[in-house]
Amino acid sequence: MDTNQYMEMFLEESREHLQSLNDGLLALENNPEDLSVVNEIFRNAHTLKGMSATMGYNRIAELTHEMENVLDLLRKEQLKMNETIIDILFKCVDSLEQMIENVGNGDAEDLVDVSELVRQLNAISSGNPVADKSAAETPPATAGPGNTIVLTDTDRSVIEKAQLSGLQAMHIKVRLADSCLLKSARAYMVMNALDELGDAVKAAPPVEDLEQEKFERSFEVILLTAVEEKVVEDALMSISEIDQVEIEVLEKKEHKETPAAKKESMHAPEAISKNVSEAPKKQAANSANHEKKIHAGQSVRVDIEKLDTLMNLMGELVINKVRLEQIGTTHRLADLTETLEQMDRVTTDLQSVVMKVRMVPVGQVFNRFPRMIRDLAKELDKEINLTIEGEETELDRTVIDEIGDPLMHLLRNSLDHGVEHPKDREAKGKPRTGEVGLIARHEGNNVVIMVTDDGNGINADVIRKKAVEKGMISQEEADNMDDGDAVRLVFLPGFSTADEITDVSGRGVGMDVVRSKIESLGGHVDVETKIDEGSVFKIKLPLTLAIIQALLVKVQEEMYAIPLGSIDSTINITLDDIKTVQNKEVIVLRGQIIPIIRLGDVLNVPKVDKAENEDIFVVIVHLGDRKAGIVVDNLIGQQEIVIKTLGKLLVGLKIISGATVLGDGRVALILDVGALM
Amino acid sequence: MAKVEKGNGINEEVQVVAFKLRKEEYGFNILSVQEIKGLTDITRVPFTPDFIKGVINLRGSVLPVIDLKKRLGLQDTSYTESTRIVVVKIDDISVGMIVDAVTEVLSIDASHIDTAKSVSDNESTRFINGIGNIDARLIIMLNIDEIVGAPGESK
Repeated sequence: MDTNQYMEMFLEESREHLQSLNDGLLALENNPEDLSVVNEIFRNAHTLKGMSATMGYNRIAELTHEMENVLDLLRKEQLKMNETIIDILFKCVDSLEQMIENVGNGDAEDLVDVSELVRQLNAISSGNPVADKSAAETPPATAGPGNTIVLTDTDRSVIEKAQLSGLQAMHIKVRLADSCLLKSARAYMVMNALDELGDAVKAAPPVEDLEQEKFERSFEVILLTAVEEKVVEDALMSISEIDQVEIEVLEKKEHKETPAAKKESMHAPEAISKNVSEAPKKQAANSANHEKKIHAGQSVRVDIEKLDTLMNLMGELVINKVRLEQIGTTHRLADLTETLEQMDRVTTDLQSVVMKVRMVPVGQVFNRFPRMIRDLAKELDKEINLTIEGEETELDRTVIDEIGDPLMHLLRNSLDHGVEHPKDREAKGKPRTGEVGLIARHEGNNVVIMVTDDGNGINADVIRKKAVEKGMISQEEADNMDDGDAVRLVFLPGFSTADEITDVSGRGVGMDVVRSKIESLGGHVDVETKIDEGSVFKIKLPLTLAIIQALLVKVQEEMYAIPLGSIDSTINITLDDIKTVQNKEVIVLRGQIIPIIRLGDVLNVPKVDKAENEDIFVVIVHLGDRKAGIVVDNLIGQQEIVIKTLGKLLVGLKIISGATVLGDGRVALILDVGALM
Repeated sequence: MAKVEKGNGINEEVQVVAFKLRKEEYGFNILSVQEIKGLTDITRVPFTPDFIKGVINLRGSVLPVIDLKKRLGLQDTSYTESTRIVVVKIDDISVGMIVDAVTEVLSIDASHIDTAKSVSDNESTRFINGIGNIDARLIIMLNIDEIVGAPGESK
């Protein structure tokens, strides 16, 4: 069978299930008694098993199968949760993650050796005296516990009521073909067909599970219908990929024979009516619940490229609109101008919607950290409480993809260098458990992500000393530096303060990588710290990378865009204001000496107008603490621009970070201020 | 047989977009051609080889444009009313090629395409796939892969 086309789907869904497994296990670690979590994990493992078996990944299936066995015992309370089990389960999740990534990369799944884990799991599930071996080893593959319909009294009374009004109750068992890949779709078709014939009152596993493919090959339904058995069977068999349909008509007396039911129906009519009235209520509640669930999950996966295309088209639309507006004004067409005003509103809305579509909550990145923190805390023998806030804050998809690693570095740093060992903390009169925070929030047109800890803090003097030792700054510079600037030295390449290089951090790579990564995203990172109170690393990111505010400047006949984020100010000077220091041109602005860059020379702009301007426009830009003045011929104005890449052919250009399409349809290049300086 | 098409069938035909560069006629396999558009504003991109003319706005996306004459080492002529940009796509990379004029779309029998080697042996033949011959009209079939070059090459 060609399963390639399902690969993408398999990978995405597996990753989701792994994430929920991770989350579940973390929750379980904090609250081992919570059976609902065990159930949740069990279902995840189970689905993963089903999916991987379908795709032919037997190792993954084998491992999840063993996990499932252990989880099954746990949820039946035949086994007690303990730390060893949790650890093993965590390791399983790690191995699964690796296997699935391998599979995704086109490697063999068995590059990861899981035999040891399988053995351990096996030992747990079989070594327990209470464990019902046969039950543990033959899980849902035949018929899982959830797969047989168990009728509650309420169900019975509903059935009875229907039977009294002349309907038939049928117990239908449907088995899907082994080759069936879209089980939920088939199940959905079956349910649909049944709904047309009558009223499907109960299903096992429940309908929600059927829709989420949380079942093996078969499921059962109780149907109340006026039609014959044969009709139902034919209707179901006409659906493709259905292997087998078994229908059993439930006899009326079958229920009346139940003494309890009989008693109720004969001697307690109120009880029945109560039951009956309760049933629909319950159903209503169920369906309300169900709808809510569906609503929450109502989303579509879209290839990011499609969104980019949408954005391009959007840009084109705006450009054409501007052209129409120009025509309207030139020819004084009032009708056209009016219509365009309407259109303007629509396009503005459209643009903001398209932008929003690209936004993803930061939670997508944050949710992998609790697990990492847990492992790291164990490894470092520290007690850590991680607080996450603002997961719902949204950022552009492209930023989300890139921000994970820098955040991981910062968190590792906080754990390793920031938070002290429990003993040291007690000695300082702090609580044993260190608090680490990961907070995201909006701040104007930016998103701020903070990594906080209540640990050591960074000692500015230590940093100064280190920097001088490493020859990064002179003693004199160090003495003149205020504490804030000194602490910021940690962002310089090759800086590491940890005396002891640990596995976790302190290899001198990290902070500078964090900084360059964030700056490449158009963001900025800063640190505030107080000795013995802790540190706050603050990352400021633009809401989106796709649209930025920029200043358009002109050099001869060429137009360039400078991102507003890196602009300090613009000034107007005369030729005389330019001085030279060691053959380099500089200007003096408010007592500060600022080197200047003649954009036309740097970019080899062909000279059209030979005459040198007496009036010179200088755009003062900054990168971190450094400043520079960019000399241009003219300032055109501030504008929102849509960033486009120059394409694969022109990758790796220095100084030019991208391009944008202007209102008149021309392309302007965007300057990379960092590279210019 | 030329590398243009499989060429093993007897009546194998190659569809070619024919265009002019100076006096000579050249052709791209039609399968690589996305569209043909008139000359628009081209934005110069600094730090690129001289045959890269710049970038244009193609319905909202930014498209690099190669001056084909420069790329092939032909003498420059100024742009005219009939100058066109032929947009080709190769391995996910879309590129515009500036040509003097687009003449027509032709079907050339594969057996009428000779390898470039038979004409000349010099370096510039790396851009040429073969030479099509229709009733003594010669169409030089270009190798778009070589013209676009690996992205690294054109840095």
